[in-house]
Amino acid sequence: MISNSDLSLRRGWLGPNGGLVLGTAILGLVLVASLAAGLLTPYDPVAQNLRDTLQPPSLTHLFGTDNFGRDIFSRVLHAAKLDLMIGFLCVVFPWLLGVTLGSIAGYFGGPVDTLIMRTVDTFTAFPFLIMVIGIIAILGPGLFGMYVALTLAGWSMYARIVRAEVLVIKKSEYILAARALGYGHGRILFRHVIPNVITPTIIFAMTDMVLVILSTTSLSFLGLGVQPPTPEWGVMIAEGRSFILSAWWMVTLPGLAIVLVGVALSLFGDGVAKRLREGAQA
Amino acid sequence: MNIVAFLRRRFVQALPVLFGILLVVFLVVRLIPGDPARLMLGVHASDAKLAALREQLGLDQPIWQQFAQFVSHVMRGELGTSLVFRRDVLEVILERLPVTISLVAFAVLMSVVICIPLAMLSAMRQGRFTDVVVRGGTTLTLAMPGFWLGLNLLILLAVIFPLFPVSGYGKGFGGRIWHLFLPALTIAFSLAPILIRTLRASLIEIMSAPHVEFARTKGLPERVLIRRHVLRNGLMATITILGVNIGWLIGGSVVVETVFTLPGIGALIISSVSARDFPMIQGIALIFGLMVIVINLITDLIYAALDPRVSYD
Repeated sequence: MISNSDLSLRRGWLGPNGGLVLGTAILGLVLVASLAAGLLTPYDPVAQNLRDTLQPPSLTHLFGTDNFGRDIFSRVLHAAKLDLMIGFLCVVFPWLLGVTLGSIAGYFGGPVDTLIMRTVDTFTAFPFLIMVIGIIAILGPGLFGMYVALTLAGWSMYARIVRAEVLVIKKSEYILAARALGYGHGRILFRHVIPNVITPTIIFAMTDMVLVILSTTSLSFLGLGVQPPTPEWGVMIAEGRSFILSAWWMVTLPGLAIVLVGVALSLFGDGVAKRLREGAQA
Repeated sequence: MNIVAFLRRRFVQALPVLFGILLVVFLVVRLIPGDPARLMLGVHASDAKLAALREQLGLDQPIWQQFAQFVSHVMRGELGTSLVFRRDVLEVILERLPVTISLVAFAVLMSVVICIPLAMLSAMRQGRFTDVVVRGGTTLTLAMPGFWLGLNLLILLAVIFPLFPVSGYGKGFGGRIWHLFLPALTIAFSLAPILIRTLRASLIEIMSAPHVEFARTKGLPERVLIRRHVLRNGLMATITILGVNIGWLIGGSVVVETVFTLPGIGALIISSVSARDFPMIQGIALIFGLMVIVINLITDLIYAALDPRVSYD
């Protein structure tokens, strides 16, 4: 597996796990700024001001205004909450589904295993975004469709990782002991097997976070996720698309927020993954 | 094992996946709640039209029979009629497929051209300033969404400095290259960093391998050493990663074609979703699924051609 961030901060300023510190700091700052957006900017993120449309960045409007005269900086700040929440849920939902199905496949084996793993093969054969678009086509564009689509399209890697781990661990003595004690399958699976196999899946989730946030903003940009006029980074950039000849700031500046969060997520994710790997070896 | 036997075996291996892809594509329409025909044609559709579409989809038969019918239609290349274009789905796709394939091929070529010198530079100066800059650059570009990067390239290189066209596909080979340059560059920006990392890591590993140490002891200049003994082996891992990421690459073409309004099948699937043109969505999803299988096969073939140790098995 390739790690997301290769910024070598090891020998540097922020201690042995500098990337993790820096990534956490940026994410924390973005989150706080978003929660306190009302205090940081005087503008309502959805209020239109048709006398002040398409103003370039200035001290009154840090990121300028859009075609409805809405303050872009204020919209970017308010959007952060939504974008981070979507990103978080779109990592957690596929993880939950993948870990559950993968451990069931590995633990029970036989036809259940075959059925689940053939499904995994099919899902991984399909280009990720095409699968997502197909599912959104059924459910209709919007937040709900996006959650379901990203969950159904994203669980297969987790299932594959977890199954491989379960196959090893189910032969270990404490699992045999639990069986000998007459524990039910559910209890063994959820109390003894899963807690011992999830670390590699969390490591994968950490390195996957950046791709997830890029996917969710892309879907909203394409008009398949969050719908306007809700402030969301992808939606804002899509709205700016018609104005690239006259108002570059509508596209460029909201995107900087995605890049900042993306870099922070890779630093954070790699830092956590590194810790977990070291912990697993110790 | 010869190449014919290899291809035959790979085809058999791909059958379950092919079956799965057909099943998923089939289910796209069948999972729509309510009457799919009504949903596709809208509330104002006449009863005759609804009945015709229900028959095209075979909705009046049991589900397994519908699937069998669907598969036999696909085998004969009958993907149905587009609700928007009022034309054969396969015909429309085949018209637009060359755009998407050219875009993906151009992007791969560009990524490889960017990747090799940067990865070599980074690996040879491991831990030094150049290396830190290259690796920092990969982290930064990987965090950039393709649609944003594409639009910024447009603003910079087509609006402020009008070097490239804002949209469209162009005529003739030169025109095509000119029109596809920025879209391909956008994809390369997200693909190249992944390749650079893989190639850098494998170059570093190979540089301390016994056969390289021996060549170095022999007094071979570092440049010759890299070209003859290191790079060739390093490229193996890069090709594997390229094959693994091809699904992503194709997904990227959807976004980039939309940004640059290229008339490919990626942009078409997006407009088909908003138009609820389900036969078209099914057709394009199927073609994309097949493309991944074919490209993976090509990657394996290149792999075997480049490395004599890998046989066709």
